[in-house]
Amino acid sequence: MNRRRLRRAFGEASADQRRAADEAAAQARADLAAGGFAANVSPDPALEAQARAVSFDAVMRLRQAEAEGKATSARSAALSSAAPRSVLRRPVLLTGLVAATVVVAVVVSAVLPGGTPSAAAGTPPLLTFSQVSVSTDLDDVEPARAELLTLASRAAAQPAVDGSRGYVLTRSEWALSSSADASDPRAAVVPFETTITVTPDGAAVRVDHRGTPLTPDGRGIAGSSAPPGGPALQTDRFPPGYLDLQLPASLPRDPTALRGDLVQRGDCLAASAQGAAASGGDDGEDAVCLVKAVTSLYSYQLLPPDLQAALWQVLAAEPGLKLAGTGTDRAGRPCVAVVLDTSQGGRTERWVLMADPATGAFLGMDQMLTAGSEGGVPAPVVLDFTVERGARSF
Amino acid sequence: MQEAQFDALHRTMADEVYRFAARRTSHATAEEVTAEVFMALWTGRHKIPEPPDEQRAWVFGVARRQLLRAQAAEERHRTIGARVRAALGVGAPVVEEDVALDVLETHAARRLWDQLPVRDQEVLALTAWEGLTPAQVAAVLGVSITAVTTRLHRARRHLADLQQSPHEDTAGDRS
Repeated sequence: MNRRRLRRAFGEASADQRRAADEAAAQARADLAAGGFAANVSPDPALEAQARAVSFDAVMRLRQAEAEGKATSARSAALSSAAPRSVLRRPVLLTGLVAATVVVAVVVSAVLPGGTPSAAAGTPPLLTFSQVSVSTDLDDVEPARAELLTLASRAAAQPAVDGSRGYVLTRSEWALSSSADASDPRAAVVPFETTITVTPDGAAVRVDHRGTPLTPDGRGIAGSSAPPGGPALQTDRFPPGYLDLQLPASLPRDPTALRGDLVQRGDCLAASAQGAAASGGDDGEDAVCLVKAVTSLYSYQLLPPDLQAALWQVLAAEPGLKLAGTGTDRAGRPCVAVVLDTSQGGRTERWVLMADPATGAFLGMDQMLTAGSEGGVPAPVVLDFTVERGARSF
Repeated sequence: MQEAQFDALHRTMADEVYRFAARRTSHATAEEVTAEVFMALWTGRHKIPEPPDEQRAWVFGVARRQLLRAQAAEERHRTIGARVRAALGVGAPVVEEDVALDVLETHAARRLWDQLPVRDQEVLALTAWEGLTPAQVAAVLGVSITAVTTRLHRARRHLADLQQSPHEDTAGDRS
């Protein structure tokens, strides 16, 4: 939230517009009450009181830490001392922060073969690319427009696929916050291998296996989509109708129309359907939203080549996406990479999208934190990566 | 904002923030989100607007962002379903499955609610559950007040459609 957002909401509407909005709100409240959609439950007063106490405690500790001049560690101090109360619950925001003080002492800044600096051995080494390193200021880097348009034309030349009869997606994933070992510098990085099988009725089964540890250069993921052996860690089943298999066919192929559709679906904060330039760039929020929309499409859908091409064209129009150059992805495949800096909710992240330069196929994404720290591990650190290993129709 | 003013704001809004989160996620996460919200507010206290009306919008804006972050962290824990993933994909916090049972009175209501697109759910819930004014909702969502009016109309129409044909799944953003 910023002042501009507040002004827009509070200052710019006419009296008529306000009246119309009030009326719509009153009708919505009435509809929800009549339909049984009113929020039924007020939370348990005891739990409410507990949450209140925890928040007062956290702010008090934050103030104390600030007063003692430990501004940088104040937040973790406040959180970690609030944490022991909750040892039995699944850690969410507090993951790793409890161990923060221990970690700081043992984090090593190893230099791995190929000169890749690693923040901590319990996290994947950063991948390197020909033109941009993690310390490069992206303001000095050219937009990836030409490269993205080339990817679009490569993708468009691929044979058609039809996912409407069902498909299988295979990928490997790793996330700092789900990794118990991230703060252990001796720990290997072990990704999950996920297989998503989707049937024509839109039902899906997602099976996760433990993968093989990454090699010291941060790679070593099997590029093939061969199913992993061993017992499944987790199996999730989603009922018929969960996925709309007609969606890829129904999305527009015209980049402008497709952008509008993605913006609409993505509920982008400041995006306009006219393009990034028309909305004044707005802190790169458009690009972030579009990248999220594109990657979430790849997460569960089998995308035909003409749609893949159109998606690259949409991204090509975003000046915030910069060319990182060529490199090798975590499965050892040659790739071209585009990067985007994001800062949302006070976090500074860099996202790296990788694609096959020959086929225009999306190969995966790395998300890293470029300032501050996460889970006690200082930036730069990989927060999350996905490696697309295969997508085939039945 | 002075410390005393901050404390007053904290006292006034702590329960509201917790309720906002607890209607959408587990108690444990809601509790953590509440602490995160007030820590973030404290750190950025010089930016908090003066008018109480705007303060409330500001606090809910921070709360929404922290909840989104928490749910994204849950996503990284791989403990959530595809629906939450889909919602996060569109950048909106979602009412999690286990919580929906508590929040909505009947199974029928919950089933219909689940079929509403996430952005419809969000504008309705902020208006009806949190009782925010249209201007406050606009500020929280980062849109204009007329966009809120449009979204409310669309969400109500969607809900009415669903109520008339309860077996048809018209949710468009599931995938």
